[in-house]
Amino acid sequence: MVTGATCFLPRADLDRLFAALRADDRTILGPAVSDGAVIYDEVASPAELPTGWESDTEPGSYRLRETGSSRAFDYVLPVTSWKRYTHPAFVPLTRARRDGSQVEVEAVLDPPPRLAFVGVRACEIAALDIQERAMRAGPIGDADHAGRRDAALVVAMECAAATSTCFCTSMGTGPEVRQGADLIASELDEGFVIRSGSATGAAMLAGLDLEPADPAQVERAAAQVAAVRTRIGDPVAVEGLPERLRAALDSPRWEQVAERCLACANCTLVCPTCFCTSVGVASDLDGQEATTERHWDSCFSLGFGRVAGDANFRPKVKDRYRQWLTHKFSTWFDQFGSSGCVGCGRCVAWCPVGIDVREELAAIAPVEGPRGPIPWPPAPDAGHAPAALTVVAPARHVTTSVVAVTQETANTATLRLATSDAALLAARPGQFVMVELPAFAAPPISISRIRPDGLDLTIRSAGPATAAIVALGPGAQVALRGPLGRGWPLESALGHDVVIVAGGVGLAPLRPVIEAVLADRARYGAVRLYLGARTPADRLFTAEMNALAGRADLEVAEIVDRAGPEWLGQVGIVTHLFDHATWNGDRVTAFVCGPERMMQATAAALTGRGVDPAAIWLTLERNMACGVGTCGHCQLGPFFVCRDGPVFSIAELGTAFGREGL
Amino acid sequence: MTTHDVMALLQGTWFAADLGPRALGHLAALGRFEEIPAGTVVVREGLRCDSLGVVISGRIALRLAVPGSPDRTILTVHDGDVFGWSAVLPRPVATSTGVAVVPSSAITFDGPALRAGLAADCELASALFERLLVSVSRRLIATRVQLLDLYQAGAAPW
Amino acid sequence: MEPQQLIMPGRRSPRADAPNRPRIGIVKFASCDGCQLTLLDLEDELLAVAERVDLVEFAEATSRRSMGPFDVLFVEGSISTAEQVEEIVRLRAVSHRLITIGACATAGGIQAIRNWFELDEVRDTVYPGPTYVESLAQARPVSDFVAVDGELRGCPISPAQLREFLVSMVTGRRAQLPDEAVCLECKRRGVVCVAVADGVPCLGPVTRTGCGAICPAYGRGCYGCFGPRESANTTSLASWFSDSRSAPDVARLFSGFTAWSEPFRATIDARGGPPGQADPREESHDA
Repeated sequence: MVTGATCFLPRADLDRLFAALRADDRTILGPAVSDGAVIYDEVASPAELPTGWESDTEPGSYRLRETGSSRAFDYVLPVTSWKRYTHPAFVPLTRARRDGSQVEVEAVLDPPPRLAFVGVRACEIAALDIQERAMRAGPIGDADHAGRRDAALVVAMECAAATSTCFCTSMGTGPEVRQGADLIASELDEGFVIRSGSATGAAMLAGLDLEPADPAQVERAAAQVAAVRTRIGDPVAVEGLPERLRAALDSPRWEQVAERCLACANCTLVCPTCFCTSVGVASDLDGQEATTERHWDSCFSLGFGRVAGDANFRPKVKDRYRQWLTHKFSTWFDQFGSSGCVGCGRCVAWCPVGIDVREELAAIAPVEGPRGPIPWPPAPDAGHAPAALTVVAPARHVTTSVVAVTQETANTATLRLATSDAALLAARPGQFVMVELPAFAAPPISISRIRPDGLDLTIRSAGPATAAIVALGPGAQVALRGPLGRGWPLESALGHDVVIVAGGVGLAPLRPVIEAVLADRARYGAVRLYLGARTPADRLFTAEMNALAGRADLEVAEIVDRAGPEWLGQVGIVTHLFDHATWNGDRVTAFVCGPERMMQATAAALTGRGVDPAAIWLTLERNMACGVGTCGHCQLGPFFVCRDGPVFSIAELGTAFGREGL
Repeated sequence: MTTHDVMALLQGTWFAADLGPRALGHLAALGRFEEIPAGTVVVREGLRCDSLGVVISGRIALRLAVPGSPDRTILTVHDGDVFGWSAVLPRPVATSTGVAVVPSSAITFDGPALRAGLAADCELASALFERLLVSVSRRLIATRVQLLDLYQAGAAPW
Repeated sequence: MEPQQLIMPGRRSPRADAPNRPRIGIVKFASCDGCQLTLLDLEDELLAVAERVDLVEFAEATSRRSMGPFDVLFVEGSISTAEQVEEIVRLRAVSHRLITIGACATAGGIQAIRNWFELDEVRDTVYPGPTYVESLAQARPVSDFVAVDGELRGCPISPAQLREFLVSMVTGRRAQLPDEAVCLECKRRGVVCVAVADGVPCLGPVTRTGCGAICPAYGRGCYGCFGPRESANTTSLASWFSDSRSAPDVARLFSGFTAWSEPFRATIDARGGPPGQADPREESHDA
């Protein structure tokens, strides 16, 4: 939105703009020279700006050069991006207290500082918008990010110079600043032409009471930026790039770039749109007072793809590089409706071994190469359209009380929790909660029963946090965040036959489905329950399942991987329970949960019997830190498992399911 | 029970369902119906396997001996699946011990007679071996999946 | 190495459940003592920890001695003599959990540079007099001799990581000791990359974080004292260094406190070993 006329601010009067920003109670952040580079920092006056500095960048190199000029904004880009202030490297999340059995967790949401960003480039404005969409596009937008972004006043400075790593032109983000800034300036030798881009900017400009700019000055400014456009050219062929990358997931070039890539995460951390974080826990020695914070992390870290069972979805550097590039340039479209890259070139300059994404894109997904489908699922599912920016809310941590603990197997227990929280009680089968005990990491746990007065969580003790949770006794408290995720689509099974296949602890998220179906039995066709477990001792909810087996209105069969001689039931793999059955697959809706390999085999067996892949639903497990689609850990292709799932149909997942290293 | 009855029983199993009438008749003539009380050992691991059986009802548990522990059940076979498939091999040694864990019944075939019958009837032999391969392959897949021990507990990120 | 859970709830060491507090020992082999010093540097926090545990062996801090058994034994120093081999094996047998601390214990330390040379040559260079020195040919990490339950890396170890380790030991949560590159720490802190901005050779991308990125914060390239991280692509980094450096100079860059760890060792080997004392080239680790 460009309002009003273009004014002229003489160079000597730049401090008046600073004064006006300070008068607006803002801390001014802008470029400054430090340690051989330009960074963003607090600048108290124009004297601290990088006057007379220019930069030269190459892959793996950034050098400043003193020119003696009086111009302050020809440095092109600093190493820092503005995400340092809208999405800081460390953000406190919670404060928690544990006093005997009592637990209290509260979200920390400090009022955001009022900031002014001075010298924002066109590519950086685009980056701020893109990252905002990522942090707010979900069931719960990120309150901290929204607060900081909304409290920042943007003074854009159109580029009058470029370096050899810039490619904003190809990404469609610059070099011209069109919108998204409060004030838009261009630097001339004698000063700045400046116009407003918002009501806030217009008010500030009016307060400065400047002379209108000379048309010749406006023309010179336009010529500057046009020269930048010419200098950059069009280095990256973006037409069809998302589709080309989609088809190139098995390109041999990934291995080649992986040989050079250090997986050091520098590219993701200098990138102005990358938003992935991890959660850290700190506490006193007794675990009574604890805090959590989130800090920048990267899909290049090994721990990013790790899940229970010590499996890792992206063990190889090749997998991680592929995740980064395909996310940035392809699946970002599925998630947020645009490319994730703004063409600032920081990742090229700041890669310690000079890997150039422009080169890699051309090699991995050449223009004349094949193209894959966008959006990801072959049949677009309206439920996965990127959401409009949501109302942001701080996280809610609800304290619940342990009513009873039932030991189900040697390492699995069910906690019956009491709560009167309306949102938790409205949980749907298939949803999960983040379970928070002060001083421990918070795991995502599926809800295994929804009661009028609380929830049941069936938890396998697989690490220190889950072990501490199952060690709680009646009367102890634990905090929950949720309910989260997309649950089982029971309504799609109405009038159909229902097949439920559960492997091991996978029966836990399926139990609410069984209960919901039986509570409304007449509305479903034939109901068949197939249960698999490792050994007879590892079966869950045996009393309840035996009772179900006695009912005439459903078929229950169980099988174990191995057993001793006292077991007279079936032994084998869970697909044995129905691979010779005679029922017809086309009237079946299936709900499946178990180890991923088991779900794959089950899905194959079901489709082999004629069950429609769009009617086979499973629930996926991924490493989750936030549970709401902002930390980036749980991504699978274009999906955030926590937010688009964890329940998915086989048809939706398509090739994302079962693909190695995705 | 007549051969005709045996034929009818076989026809109801997935094992013999699609056999042509001539092959089915020949096969039925070689087999006989047996009731197997619960607890009966129908084949012993490591010993000569003298008969092949197609389960009609009940359940046969296949077990392996584990020194120092009770026998471990690694598969159960029921309606239509076979036990004692080693009987068709020239050196018929059973690969597991089969025990009926519930009252069961099966069509059993004497090993040497079956081998002779198959040698004389190529069409039956080809159909039978194909079905045996499917059955053994199913066991192989199950074994591989069980080997992965997918349900094991391990360390978690939290 | 994955972050280790020290005392698993449900699998606590028998002594921890007893009315007595867990018995902790801190011992030293071939090392400078700096890692133990980090323990003392915790000051008040150490006192708080000391209230919850029984420090039965910590020669630097107390005259109390113990030959074991230990619930947790912290081991500093590399194994360099035959007596030390015997002692570490004995200590392992009487320790429920054995945790190595510092580059000497986890990687062999700077003294492991001698592993590339003939012991006699090295000894005669260092000790011109007829001094009685009897060592093993190689100075090696503790894990070469006994199973190790956890490690704290660094030269010296980081007080923050030590604090985190001790808190996790007492609370029962998993210790957060991320296995990622130093680069993440630099970028989070806002330290300008010395490699890209100044051409200073820096091992940060292949070194495990934990130090808080101290050296780059002072304009110096990381020299890998926390040792190689997972997926350390030293081949690629060494190749980048080789564009402007000779092979011996690149080898020298990796020949630091954790030189003996793979893949630093392989990278050094590929360039003829660490430059020896006869090498006339000018030492230059800063640009």
